[in-house]
Amino acid sequence: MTRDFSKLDPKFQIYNSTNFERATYVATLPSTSYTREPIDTAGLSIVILNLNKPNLVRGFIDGFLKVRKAFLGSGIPCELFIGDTGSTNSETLQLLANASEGISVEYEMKYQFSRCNNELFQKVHTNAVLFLNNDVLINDNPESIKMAYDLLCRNENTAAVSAVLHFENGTLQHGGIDFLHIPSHEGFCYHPGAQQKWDSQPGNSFSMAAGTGAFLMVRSELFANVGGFDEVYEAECQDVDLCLKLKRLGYDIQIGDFGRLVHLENATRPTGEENWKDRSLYMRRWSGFVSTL
Amino acid sequence: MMRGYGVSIVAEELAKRMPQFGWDLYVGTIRADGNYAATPTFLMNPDAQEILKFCREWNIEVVLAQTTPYFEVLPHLVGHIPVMVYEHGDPTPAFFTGDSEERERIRQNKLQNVYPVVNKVLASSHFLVQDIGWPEAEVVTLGCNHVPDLGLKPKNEFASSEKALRVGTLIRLGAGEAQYKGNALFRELVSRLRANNREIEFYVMGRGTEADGDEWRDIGVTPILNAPDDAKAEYLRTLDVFVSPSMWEGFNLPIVEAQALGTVGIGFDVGAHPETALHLASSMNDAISMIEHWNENQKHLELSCERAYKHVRSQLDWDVTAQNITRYCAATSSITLTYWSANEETEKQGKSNSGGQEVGSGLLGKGIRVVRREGLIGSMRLIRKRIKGN
Repeated sequence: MTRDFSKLDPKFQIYNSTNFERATYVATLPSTSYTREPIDTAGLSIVILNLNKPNLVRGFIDGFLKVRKAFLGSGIPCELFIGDTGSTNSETLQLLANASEGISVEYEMKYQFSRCNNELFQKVHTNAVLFLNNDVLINDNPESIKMAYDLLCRNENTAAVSAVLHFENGTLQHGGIDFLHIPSHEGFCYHPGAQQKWDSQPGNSFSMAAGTGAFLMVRSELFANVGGFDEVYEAECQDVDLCLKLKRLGYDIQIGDFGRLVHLENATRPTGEENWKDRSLYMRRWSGFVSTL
Repeated sequence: MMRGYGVSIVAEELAKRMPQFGWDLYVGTIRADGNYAATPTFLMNPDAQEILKFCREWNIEVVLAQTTPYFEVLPHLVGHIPVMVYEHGDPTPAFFTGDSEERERIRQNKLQNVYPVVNKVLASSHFLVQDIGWPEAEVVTLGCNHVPDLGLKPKNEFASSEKALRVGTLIRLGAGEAQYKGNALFRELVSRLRANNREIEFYVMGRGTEADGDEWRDIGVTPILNAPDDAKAEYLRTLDVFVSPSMWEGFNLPIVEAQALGTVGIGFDVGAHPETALHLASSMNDAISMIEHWNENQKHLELSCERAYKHVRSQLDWDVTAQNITRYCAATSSITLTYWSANEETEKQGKSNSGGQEVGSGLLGKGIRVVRREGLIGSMRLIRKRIKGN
């Protein structure tokens, strides 16, 4: 069967700009973005964006210190880059100002997921980088980070590792990203099994086409090679886009079950915001490719 | 019907395949180079009287036009015989400096005088439905199986540590269409890849002069000039990566052909590439990252070629195209007409109002497809019965 865009939900405007606009965009993009020196220092850099939320800040800083201790114990460097997107809360600012060794803070960033993460990535010198949401409670499961790192290093064909994440009630929040096969949303991404019971098998891992940007560990060199997160996406789909670029090269994306790891989804962004421009762009770029996976 | 034009391939494939669905197809054209001997082809002016005369003599039931200047004659046929448009599109006028206004005029004329009056508008991609500005158009995609199915490439045919990666394109080398065909973009791609990957070999195949070829040789690209059509398949098969630098494509048969021949094809996110190029590059960097990676990783190159091959071979089938066209022919041919009784009026109406025979440097191929239902009603019934039986 040939793909039939005409049966898609009309909110997907696959060709939402003129060909001339699309051609101009393709032909005029900066030609040197994210060209960097080789990144070959074995180690992990964690990148977190944050706005206020002192409780979350306290949690991920404490969690990071535990993670770092475990990494340094194995002789592996580990550092944390925090991008503050305009916090005004005094307690948050205090926590950031007093951040310990291994933690760098970039202030006054204007929130845009892709751009902020890409900018922070410019500071990364380790061969692996973890993009982590501030509301993934690593303090409750610091071992998960080292397990993810080991999983990434285990097989050179693995380009990225994401984690099984849970809601606070124990149901599944993220177990990898799959694609819908219904005419109105053919090829659109979704979280299979979300809000359902998950029989955890810590240490288990499996291959998926994409993982969430809430917890996405990537080989730094590959992240740079594919141009980082595509900043044309305003709010959604940038993580799936990145994973599919890696997948398209021929790599594998692994989802690891590292035990209970809670994601307080939407603590970083208001709920109910659907960006159909991003979704339409994603569909135009990827609905063909995902049909081959 | 001329070699080197996509519309000729469309006409040839439909003529071969429509009879199995109970229809014969005859091709009217302004020029024919004799390469399509197996396809019933007739020289035919874009003239309503001449076309209707032919239709009477051959019991034609539907007229299907696929290029200017035949589009423009269709309004004069309306009411006499069912008529359909099969759009393969026109490049964005803004890409052309010399005749952009004329191109825009042709586009507007179709929107105002052709699409509203014909019995059906078909387009070869969803992109075209938007690009031609006619949301009621329905999509009938083209096929890929006009090129031989050579299967997946054996491992020893790929680039390796002993064998350089071969990157190439098909391009019109003349200046007329250079902007929309992306010649400059391909040059930039070569230049940037060369900087870090001196071993990659680059090729361009296309029509052009020796002087055109020299321009490519000067930057280290091997030109293959004016090769016969049968050399094209071998060329596409031999490449490791095919790149289409085009900034507009209504469908893009060459990138589909490359993939169908087992070669991964990269197209930029323009035109109908989202529907035809499995490896869609959102930017120059995106294209370079893919090529550089496959230059280093043969296993991943093999996987990418395999995905592309399987994708187009499973998605784009000329039999499906022919079946869909005949479905629309059947629906359209049932329209009640004044048909044969209106000859006098038609004769008064004269010729196409397109005003131009050619646009640009011959990119608008000329073909009109005249469809006749096979006289054997039994075979139609048999086909329907077989479908029901399934």
